[in-house]
Amino acid sequence: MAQEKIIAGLCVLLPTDDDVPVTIPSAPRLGTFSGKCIGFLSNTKDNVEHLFADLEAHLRATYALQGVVHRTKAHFAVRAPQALLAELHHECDAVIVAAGA
Amino acid sequence: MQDMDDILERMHEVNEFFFAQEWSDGLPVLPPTPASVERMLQGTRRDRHEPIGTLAPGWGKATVERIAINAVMAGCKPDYMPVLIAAVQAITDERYGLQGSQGTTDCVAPLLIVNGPLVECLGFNSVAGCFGHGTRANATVGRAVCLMLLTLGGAIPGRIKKSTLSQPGTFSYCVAENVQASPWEPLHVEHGFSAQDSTVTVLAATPMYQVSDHCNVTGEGILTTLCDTMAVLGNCTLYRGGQSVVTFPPELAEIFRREGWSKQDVKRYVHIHARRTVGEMKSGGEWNRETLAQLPPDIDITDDTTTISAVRHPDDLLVLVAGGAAGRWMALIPGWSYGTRAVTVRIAD
Repeated sequence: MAQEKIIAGLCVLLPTDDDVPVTIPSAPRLGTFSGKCIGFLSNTKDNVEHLFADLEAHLRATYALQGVVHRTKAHFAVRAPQALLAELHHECDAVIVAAGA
Repeated sequence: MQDMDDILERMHEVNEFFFAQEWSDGLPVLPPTPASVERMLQGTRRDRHEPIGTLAPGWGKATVERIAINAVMAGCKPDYMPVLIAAVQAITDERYGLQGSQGTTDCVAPLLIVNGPLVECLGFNSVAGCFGHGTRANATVGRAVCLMLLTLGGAIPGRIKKSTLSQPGTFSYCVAENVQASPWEPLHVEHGFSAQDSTVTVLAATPMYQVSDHCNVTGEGILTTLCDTMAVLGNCTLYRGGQSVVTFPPELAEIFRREGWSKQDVKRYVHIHARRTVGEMKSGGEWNRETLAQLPPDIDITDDTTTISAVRHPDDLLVLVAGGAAGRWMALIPGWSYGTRAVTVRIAD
């Protein structure tokens, strides 16, 4: 049901959806990366492979990772398919996702 | 007279509130009072609470009621509701690419193409001035869709919507096909719908480019002009691929009819001839690693003589007739590309 508001004595229905959460809660944090499998999901944007390589090197140097999984979306403009998300969810304890430019 | 002043003052206050909330395209809106929304809902048999789609990236749910509220704001007639419902179904289809198109720096707006008997019933303009102002159906249906991208999709310019320039189509970008002047099957019939169906086709589209041919008297000559316009370094589809829309005016369509060109003939010709060599493409446009990664693997970019078409596949070109009887102006509307596609939805109830 649309929200109503009285403005200058006139009742109007608001065009927005007030049920949308303002913020989406963060995924649960890992206590440690040691013994964990970490996923990297590239969005194909320039330099993402350099950023991910540095992050992976840092994680490997600091923690005893169980494994690493690299996957790439078809394109930065489209959402990752459900099958890919399900695979990462199944294989990994946490996933680092590239977003934006 | 006092009452009228009072009404105008209230409308002014409502608009000031809506402007402050960034729920407007910058123009005044009609206040969506409960009575006006009820009247709008008379245009559909659907339940007011039925969810039609969720608009990225604000994730507002477009229920029938919220569509009606935005329709009132835009100045729609109740009869336009089924068109708006179909348009929301189309833009929330995964193939349309709403999330990416809302935030891109490209200049993208939803281009709506209306086909079928409802074009005449509802008064959509497919003839003189069809891409411009002056026709209520085109202006307000397109506007209502764009308002929903703001109010439910959250694409506030400069914040979520990062388009460098944006474009006039973000006010309204709605046209109908001039089937009476077309030598070809209508767009929706080509896409598998019955001629008696009415449909809306929606594409995430860049601005319309006016293409002039006041020289040629043959179909091949006209297409030479069109192909040259498409295969320029500044046209993203040369690099990205994807769909484009081209409209021919009746005067030029008649030449194709006289010479016996099928729509598929036109598409194949453009696919073959709207090309540049790799050597030329390297000098500008989107010759960068990010875009090159999207090229089909069978294109050899190590050979400077390889040619690449702005229309990767003939069916990537959406061909229709639009415009008034006088004039030889074509319209070229490259799609946003990036894997997004036009979506056609039957207008039901």
